[in-house]
Amino acid sequence: MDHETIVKTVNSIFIERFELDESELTPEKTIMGDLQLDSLDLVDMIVGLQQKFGIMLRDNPEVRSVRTLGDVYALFEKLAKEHPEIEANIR
Amino acid sequence: MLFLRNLAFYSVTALWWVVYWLAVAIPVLAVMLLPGPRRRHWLRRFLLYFGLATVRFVWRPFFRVRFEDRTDGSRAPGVLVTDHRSAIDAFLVALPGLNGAQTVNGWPLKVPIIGRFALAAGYLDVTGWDFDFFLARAKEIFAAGDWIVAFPEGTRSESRTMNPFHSGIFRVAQELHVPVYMLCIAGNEFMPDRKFRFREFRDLSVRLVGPLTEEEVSQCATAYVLKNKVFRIMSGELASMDAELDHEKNI
Repeated sequence: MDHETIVKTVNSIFIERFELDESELTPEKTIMGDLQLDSLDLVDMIVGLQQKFGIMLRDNPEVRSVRTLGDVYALFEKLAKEHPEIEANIR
Repeated sequence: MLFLRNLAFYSVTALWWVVYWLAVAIPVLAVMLLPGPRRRHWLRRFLLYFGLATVRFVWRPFFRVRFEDRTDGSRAPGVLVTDHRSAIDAFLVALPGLNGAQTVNGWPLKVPIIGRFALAAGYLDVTGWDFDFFLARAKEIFAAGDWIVAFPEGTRSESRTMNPFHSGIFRVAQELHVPVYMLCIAGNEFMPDRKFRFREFRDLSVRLVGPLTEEEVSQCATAYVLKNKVFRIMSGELASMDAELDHEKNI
């Protein structure tokens, strides 16, 4: 899966679930600082990502180290390499 | 002069606390015999009357509070969200006369007597409880026909700019399908400051707006969307209230 598809898919979660404008979604933005999601919002974000990519993230320790939107893109690039089937799962 | 006014304010307040709680001691003891939810409902009433009398009568020589109800008159139990500039907000939220359990940031519940009383009245600890336990207690409060009074900023702002909201209470409103009312409190930044000193005594403005109905609450995709919607409405109201207060002060 290419980088552009991952960025577009991840961003769609933030647009649909948090009504953020696409122009706000740049890789350096911190999720809890710049985008002002709190711990409960993170649960919504993870649920949204799981549904969109069709992959479980709850037990993935790398999710805990995600700080910026760029970290989310990087995480899914890595997951896409480890699980090529997720490209077909994208809804 | 300001020091003496502070001294007078806290002396009168302390005296009033003793008088009120001694006066209601016997009814409170009787209420303690009731089963859990009814006991908590009635204890909240004692706290509501305490807050109302404190703001309307005891503090009147020090400052006046103008209260406006700009709702459509509906009073379905729900969440009452308020901005949080200073410590007296915990009293000012009594002005709409809604019997409610306040969300509390842990430590005030440990204050001798009043903190223990608040805990017994079903006040909600937003820092010490997990979400499911919090939700169960919230359900009980709404079932009793009462409100939850929430301070989603989490801590006092001491300024005219609201801190970002936390999502928790908005998720409660969505999960339990209740409306969200908004109580905007203006004029009380530094009344008192974080060290509980009044840097000035000025008249305040409190305005009840909304509600966002159950349907409007449910239509928000997430609690994040709802909290931002409420934040925008309250920011607009507070800006106009601050401007009115400044205008009145300059006349």
